[in-house]
Amino acid sequence: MEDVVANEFATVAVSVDDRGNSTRLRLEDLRTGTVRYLDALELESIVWAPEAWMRALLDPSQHRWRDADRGPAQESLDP
Amino acid sequence: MTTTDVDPEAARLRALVLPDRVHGSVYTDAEIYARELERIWYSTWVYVGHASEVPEPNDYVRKTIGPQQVVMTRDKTGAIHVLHNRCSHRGNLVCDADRGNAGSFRCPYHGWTFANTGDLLGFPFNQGYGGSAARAQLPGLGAAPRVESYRGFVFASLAADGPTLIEHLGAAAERLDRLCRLSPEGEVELTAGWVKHEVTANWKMLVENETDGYHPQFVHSSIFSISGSGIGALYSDKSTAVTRALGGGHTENDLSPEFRRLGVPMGWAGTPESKIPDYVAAMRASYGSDTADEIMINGSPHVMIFPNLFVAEIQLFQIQPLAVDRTVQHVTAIQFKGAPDLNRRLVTQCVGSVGPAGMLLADDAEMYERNQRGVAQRQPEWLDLTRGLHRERLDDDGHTIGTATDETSMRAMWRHYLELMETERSGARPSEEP
Repeated sequence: MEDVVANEFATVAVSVDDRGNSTRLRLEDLRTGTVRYLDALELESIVWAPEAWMRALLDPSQHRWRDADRGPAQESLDP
Repeated sequence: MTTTDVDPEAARLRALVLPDRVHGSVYTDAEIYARELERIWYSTWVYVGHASEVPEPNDYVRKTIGPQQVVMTRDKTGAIHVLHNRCSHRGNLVCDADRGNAGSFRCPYHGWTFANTGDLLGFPFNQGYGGSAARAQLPGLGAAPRVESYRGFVFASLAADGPTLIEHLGAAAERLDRLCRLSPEGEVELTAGWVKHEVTANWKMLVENETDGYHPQFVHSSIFSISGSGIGALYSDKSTAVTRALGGGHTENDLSPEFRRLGVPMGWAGTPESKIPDYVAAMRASYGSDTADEIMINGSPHVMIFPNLFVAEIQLFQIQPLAVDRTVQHVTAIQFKGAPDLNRRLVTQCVGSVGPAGMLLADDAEMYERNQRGVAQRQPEWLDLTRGLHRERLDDDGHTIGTATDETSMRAMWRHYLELMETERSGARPSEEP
């Protein structure tokens, strides 16, 4: 079953995908079609992540709108 | 407080706002309106919204302080903020939806992103600013310097200094207490949705009218007659109801003496106990039978909290000036927590009175707009404020009162208005009751 989580800033389809050997969350940014899967441990880690980590994640320069000369997004965020 | 004797604008206003009359130009003069924004709307406490409109962490609603667009947010910790809806980069509106749930807001123009506390979280392509460290040097969203709430009613002041909210509310705070006591749980909720109704009239026309007990029998006669309401008859010289100046420009029509004379629980709402048995039972369980009956007999307040919050028994108005001759009334049905059967009736009643086709709202709106066109005419130049001046007296609490139809409330509003408009610095203290 797919649900949509939306506010005026973003629209993301959310569903539980069970094609693998265990379930995972499927997230689709409906404005671009970009998809990411999150497994249970990744989700748990998000639940436990410090607030500064989430604030850093919301900085557009960290990922989607990153300067090209800085290379791909780093694995560790730069709060 | 500093009265600016050398301020020519203050001197001009003193000549236009007199104890027994007011000049028509105070409703039409753009310079006076500009001064009102600075001295009143951007200085004193202004009602912004109710905590029940942002019940969950990260809820937000768009609100206003006069023409200013603001966003009232509840952050992750539960604290309420009032933020200017203006991106700190290029000034775009950041929030567009009337309400939503978001821990952060992203400006649609260049992607600058803000926490719902106003903090700047980041922006695209940060090398253009020398890297992420620049974030600490760049401003976040503007915030109202002072935000306080009373019984869930959230007020903001755009002045850093001034009286506290409780000082500002003065005796009007007890009227909000009286309203909340009508809930078995002691809380009101503004969850019924809003009608936004714009009129081509100056905002003060509305403030004056809200506690003008002289007009209901004329302007609202049709809705009173078809609904069988006995409210209209309470606004007469024979009524024991009073018009009261509460200080600080706040005023009320106190109909409770008439409701006590009637002595019927919920008689003020025209709703017999048999129609709302769950509510009556919940009230008696919460307060005990005697106190509950007293609360339900005394009824709901009819109070105008200067400059923009009007509680009219079962509905709430938020007054928003947009220009010297444009004003929006934001109207909703008051809902009492723990009272679903009463709330359903209140919504139905409010649809009839202040809904999109509501008769009460339409009646008043017609008068506001006729009044605005009327004061633009050249003669006579003044509006009369003398009704009941000769019979004003003090009540046991030292408040000035008049009969139900007297203009005691208008005179009190204008006294406070003049005090604020004369004051050199922002955040004037509320006036003392004369």
